[in-house]
This record gives sequence, C-alpha cells and structure tokens, in this order.
Amino acid sequence: MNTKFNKILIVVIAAAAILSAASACFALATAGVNVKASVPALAQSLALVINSVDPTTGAFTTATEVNFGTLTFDSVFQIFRASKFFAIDAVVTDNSGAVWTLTHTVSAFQKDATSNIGGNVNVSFVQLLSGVETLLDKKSFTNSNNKAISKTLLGNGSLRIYYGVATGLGDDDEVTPITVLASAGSYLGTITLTLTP
Amino acid sequence: MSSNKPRMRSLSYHIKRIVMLSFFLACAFTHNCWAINLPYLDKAKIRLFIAPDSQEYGEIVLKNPSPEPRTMRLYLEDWYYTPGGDGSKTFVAAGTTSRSCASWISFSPAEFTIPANGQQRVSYTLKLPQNAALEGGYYAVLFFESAVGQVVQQEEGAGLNLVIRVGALFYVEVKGTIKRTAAIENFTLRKESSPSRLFVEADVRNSGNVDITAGGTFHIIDEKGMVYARSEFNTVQTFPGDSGKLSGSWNTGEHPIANGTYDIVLTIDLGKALTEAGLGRGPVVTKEARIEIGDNGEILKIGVLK
Repeated sequence: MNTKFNKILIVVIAAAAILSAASACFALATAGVNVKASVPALAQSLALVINSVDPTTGAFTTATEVNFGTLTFDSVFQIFRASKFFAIDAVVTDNSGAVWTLTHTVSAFQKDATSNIGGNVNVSFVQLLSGVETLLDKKSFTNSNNKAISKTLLGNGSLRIYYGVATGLGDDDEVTPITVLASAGSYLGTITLTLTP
Repeated sequence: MSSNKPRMRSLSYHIKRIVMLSFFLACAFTHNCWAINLPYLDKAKIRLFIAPDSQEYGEIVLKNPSPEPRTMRLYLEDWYYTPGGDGSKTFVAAGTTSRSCASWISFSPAEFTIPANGQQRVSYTLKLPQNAALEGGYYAVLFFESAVGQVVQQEEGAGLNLVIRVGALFYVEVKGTIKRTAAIENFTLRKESSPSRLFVEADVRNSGNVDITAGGTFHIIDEKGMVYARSEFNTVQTFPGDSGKLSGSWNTGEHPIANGTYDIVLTIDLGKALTEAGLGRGPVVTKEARIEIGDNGEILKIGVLK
C-alpha cells in the first residue's frame, strides 16, 4: 500500500512541477495584463475609546465614562487631587477627501450656579500618529469650548483629548488647582464632540 | 493509529493557542475591540436649489455599526464657517444667524432608538417661504445626538457626561438669485531660505451671496510660456462677506528659478463645492502679475495682480 501511495505521490509532484514550469513559460510569452481595483467610498464615521489613565504608572484602562470620582485632599499642598485622568481617542473614518471637522464643546463644570471647577481642569488636544503624541493645544476645560480640530490639522494621525484635574505642576496657564475654597458636593459637566464634513 | 492520537490533540491545542494569541494581539495593537462605534449618516451634506414658495423632500439614513442599540435625539441649529477659511464651523442656536434656514426645515422622527447593527430613515421637508427679499444661500445643520458616557450623579465627586453628535449640513440656494463671486486680494510672494521655498499667498474675499469653496493652482512662466513652477493652493471655505487665505509653495531648493522676469498666473476655482456635490462646475477666476527674481532667488519686484 505504501509503495503504491508513494508512486501516486511522485506522479502528483511531477505533474505539479510540469504545470508550474508551463505557467512560467506562458508568463514569459504574455505581453501584459491589466490590473484593476476599485476602492469603495466609506461613509464618514467616528469611533471613540475612553481610557482612564493612572498618573503614577501611565497605564491606560478602558472606561465607559469620564468620572474623576471623589477627589482626595492633599493636606501638604492644600489642594484636591484626582486619582486618575482621562484620555478620549477619536478616530474618524472618511476616504472622500473631504476636510471634516471635530468640534469640542463643553457646558459649565459645576455643582450649582456659583460653584464651578471649569478653570481647574486641563484639556489637552493631541495628535496621535504611529504611537507618537504631538500637543496641538492645551486649555482650561472652560476655555476648551468650541475648539475645532480639522482633518488638515491631524494629517494622517488621530485625535486624543486628555482631561485632568489640575495638580499645580504642568498645568496650563489658564488652570489652577482646586483649593479648599471649592465647596463640597457633586460637580457635573458635559463634553460634546461634533463631527461634520 | 494509536500513535496519531496524541499528535492530533497536540495540533488542536496549538491551533487554539494561535487563535487566542492572534485575538489578544489584535486587541493589544488596535483599540478597535474597545471602541465605541457611533452611528453615521449616508449623506452629511445636503445642497438644494429651490425656488421661493416651493419645497423639497428627502431622506437621511442613519446606520448603527455597533452591536448595541443607541438612542438618538435630533434637532436643528445654525452654523457658519469660523473665520480663517479652513472649513471649521461654529454652531449656534437655530434661527440666530442672518442666513439661517432652520425654520424652513421639518423632520421626523425627532427621537428614536436605532437597533444594534440597524438603520433608521429620517424624512425631511424644506419649504422656502414666499419672500422676494430672499437671495443667495441659507444654511442649517440637523444634528443626530447620542449620549455615550453618562456619569451617575454622586454625593461627592466630579464627572463629565460625554455626548456625541453627527451633523447633516444643509446648504440651500434660492434659484435665480445666486452670485458666486470673489475678489482675490493681498497677493504676496515670500521667499524663505530654510528650507528654501517660495510662498505664494492671496486672500479670497467672498463678494457674492452664497458659500464658496475655493482652491486652485499657480504657475510661474516666462515670456515664451515655459513653466518654471507649478503648485496647488489649499482649499478655502467662506460665507458671504468672509475672507480666507489661499496659500501655496514651491520648493526652490530642489527646483530653483533662475534670475529673470516672469509672470505668475493664479487660477482660482470658486465652484469646488458644486463639483464635490456633483452639481456642476463653478466660475474660475484667473489673475496674473509680473514678478522679478534675483540672482539668489530673491523676489526683487511684484507687480499688480490683474
């Protein structure tokens, strides 16, 4: 059985070798072949990833919301600190060639009409290209309203937006830490990301 | 036969490991497995030419690529190009700009939940009022808004709700009243040495009554018509009365232009928006000026743009 099987195998291999050689000969004799491909148009779309970032290790963890939780009081510097900051990655898919715009608008970040921490949160707009970050702009949460980022500005990169409670170190000029002057309670705001062509 | 059994189990075990490793690597190197894929529109720009006292009907299809259903809220706002002409837009409450058409648009439904991997059709009607004073272009945006990350209210703490919206921009042009014109002003030539480039700039001032998307090219030619430099301008988007800067450059390091007198010809297409929408071609403006270039490529003289 084995001998018969080996013979069949040899015949099959020989046939394959002859056919390969033959196809190579045909290729040499052929003048040219048209190559055609069409790339379909994709509808303009947006995908987001929300990450919480550990300020000590820099580790990213996927999150479902931008929630700083209860802030902790640093008695040495007399400021309130957050245990994490956040990064939102926004990736726009569009092969139409149109110059789309992502517009970042915000509401007040407040407890009530008189207690607002919009000036105590940094917002950094970053171009992310091949894993390399380039800072495009840095503002306070309040002043980040109506910030527009166009496709032209991002080039082949995507947009990453960081949100971090001020620490007193590396903050934007417009941003100050939260001090004991901030009244206790729950602070809530809204970020709106708008994609238009 | 019995000797094959362990080998088969081993192969299956390795295949499983390879599949699991591939899945892990795919997740590690792309964020897509964690991405929130948001609904998108089949058309994000709607350009209509309508006569006064008439109406147009249409439909926008919203598609949900996500395995999760998503609740959407629709509403209208006004918009205009943010000064600068790069296409950035500012959104304001409906009916607050002089060229708003938000009050002419009605749509249905205004709220719905789009099923997982499903789609929703939204019908709209745009009715132009009978008003002899209407002329040129009018604009609005229909937003499709969805809450993505809602923070649960807590006793103490700080959190931010995240809302996403995609917009369908309406451009309405009143038939028979369109003036698609622009003035090309403040023409400059600037030579920079490091890197060695020749910058050509000019302002496009929208002197018409409709939005203009302008772009084009410049050529530097000698008296015999021989082309020494050719490049494209950026695209500039303006509303009536606005200006934007056209900018293009030529690499004089790689392709120097010898000293002499030349003509620079600017060809500006004011109808790029129409071409993009497949609605024809707009007017093209051609301007030229005499320029003189020195021994080291410096600009000695710039004539008036005619």
